[in-house]
Amino acid sequence: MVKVFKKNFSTLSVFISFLFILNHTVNVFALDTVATAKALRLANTITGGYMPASDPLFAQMVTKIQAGDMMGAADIAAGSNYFASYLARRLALQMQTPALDASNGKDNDATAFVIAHFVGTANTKPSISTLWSENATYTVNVGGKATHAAALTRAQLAAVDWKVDLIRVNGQTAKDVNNNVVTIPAKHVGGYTTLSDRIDDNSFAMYGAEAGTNLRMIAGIWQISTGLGILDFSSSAAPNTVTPRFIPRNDPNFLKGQGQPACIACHGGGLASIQHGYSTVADVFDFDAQKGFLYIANPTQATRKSLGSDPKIRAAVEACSDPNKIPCNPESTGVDPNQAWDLGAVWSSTGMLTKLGWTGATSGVGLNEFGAALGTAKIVYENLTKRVIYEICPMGAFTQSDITKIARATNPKTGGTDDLRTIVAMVASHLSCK
Amino acid sequence: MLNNIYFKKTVGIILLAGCSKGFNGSNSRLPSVMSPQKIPPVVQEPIVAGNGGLYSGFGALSGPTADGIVKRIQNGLEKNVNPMTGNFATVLNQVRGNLPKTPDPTQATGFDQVQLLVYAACSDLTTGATPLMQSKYSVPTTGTVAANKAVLIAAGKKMLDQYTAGLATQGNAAGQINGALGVLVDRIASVATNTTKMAFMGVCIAANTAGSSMTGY
Repeated sequence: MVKVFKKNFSTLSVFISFLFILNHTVNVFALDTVATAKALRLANTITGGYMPASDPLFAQMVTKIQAGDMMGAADIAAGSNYFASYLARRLALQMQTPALDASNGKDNDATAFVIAHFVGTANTKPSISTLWSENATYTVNVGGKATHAAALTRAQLAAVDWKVDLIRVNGQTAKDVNNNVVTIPAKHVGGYTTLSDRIDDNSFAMYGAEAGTNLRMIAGIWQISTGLGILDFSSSAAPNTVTPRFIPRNDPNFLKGQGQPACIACHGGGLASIQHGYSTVADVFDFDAQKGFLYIANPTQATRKSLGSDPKIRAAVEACSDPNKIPCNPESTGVDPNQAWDLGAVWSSTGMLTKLGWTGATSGVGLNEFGAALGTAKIVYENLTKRVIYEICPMGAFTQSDITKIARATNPKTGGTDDLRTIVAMVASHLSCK
Repeated sequence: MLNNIYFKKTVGIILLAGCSKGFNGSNSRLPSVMSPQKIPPVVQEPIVAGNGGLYSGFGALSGPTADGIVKRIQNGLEKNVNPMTGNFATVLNQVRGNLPKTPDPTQATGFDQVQLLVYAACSDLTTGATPLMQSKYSVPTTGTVAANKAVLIAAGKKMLDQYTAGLATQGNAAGQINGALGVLVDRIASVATNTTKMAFMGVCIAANTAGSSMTGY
């Protein structure tokens, strides 16, 4: 049957689609064609097509557009549960890895947390600024029972109203090395980045802390929040002492790269510096293939990832007695056992803090303080604006002034709403998107 | 064909961008009376996000992504199909990874898979003793295609109306839609062995592929 119809239908379907586009903007009949077409455009780009035209909200959008209030119409779509189910969830799934690919994502505690921060819950307001610091877990109300998002069946998942079904629970938990559930101390809570309740949940915690040295974890936090790449942060203006212990000091590329950036540019002056947040995660977290996300209250030499990814040679890396046999940096101070971070030491002189629009503390102790400061940086709101543009107006034309204006209206540091939907409404009603 | 349309639009954008960016007073060979200093400078900020659509409406040419396409088909068929059951579910599991992942129409691929998915969803309307094509769309399973032409066209328009908020039947495109669906049904009817069920499938696939794949909407 496919063979019989395919040829004619493929041509016809595109033809019909083309006719609609041609006629939507020029005719006024029983329906207000222009307003209806604009409402369709807004509803479908903001909710991905989730909002049926039969929904009363759609009629409200048409009325707003007829009154010349495009932003009001966009607000209605962005405030709907369809937006929460589509774009807010899509952005949340993307934020589990720097690739920002939602297609391989799974719903989990981290994505539920992000959705709650984008659209709010029955008892909480939206909050972009606390994405990396709020000490809470969000579960889904399924028939009165709090359920982890990763535990939902497909049918349950399809029935979730992400705008009203999320429940906030104080605190976050992980496993200890003995596979017991433990509360993560507030100092170490990094918002959605420290949420995972099971193995293979495709959470950010799984991405960042599984195997390796946890450099991926801190680099991922920076990349996803700012939209910048690893090399954007790099600088050779860093002392040897701030590179992690496992970085080979005797490597010829350590101080001056030959055919590549110098090692110290990233490991000392960039995201992998022990000062730029690495100390807050390096020895505190792990992701075990059998146990899941681990919080390590009392790191030992064998568990400390800041001494390299191979547990068998961590003692030798720490001793660093023979750098020719075991690559290491004898001059490294090692990660701070109190998880201190200091962005000003290198980045204040390189202009990086200015580039980030950093307005929070430049030094502190623990991932939670770091995440709270990150949530106030100007670049976070500009990056989210660019991501929303890519989602709902990819062919638009936005200048830096446009983006700055939208970011300022959203950043609470500049009196903004702290609400993603402000970005969505302003982008959707921008001249090049209407 | 869709890719061809995207290609043309992309070329258009590049050409438009070239018109504004290509004029550079300091490099142009103008007569001295028209030296660059005498031309008022045009202050234009560079585009830092979006592909640079310069006209109202053009910038919003986003395309639907996988989840959106599934939901659109479900809405287009008024929730008479379920992506978790039937042929719709079977084919969705097979093509999900190939459906468009990005809303950027210049980068998206996989719209060809939408037709297959719609085919499966439509087929779920034709099963059972009293199939949904009959109970929901008033298309009988018996009788010739020609005899059922009117109800087949009505079914197609009903589906298209879901995607267009009624514009398929209430805009001046209604006549064109009617005509296009009529031609489709006539062509199917011209093969004597084709049944009304096959014609319904044809109308359903055409209407829902077009509706769920609309770019910019």
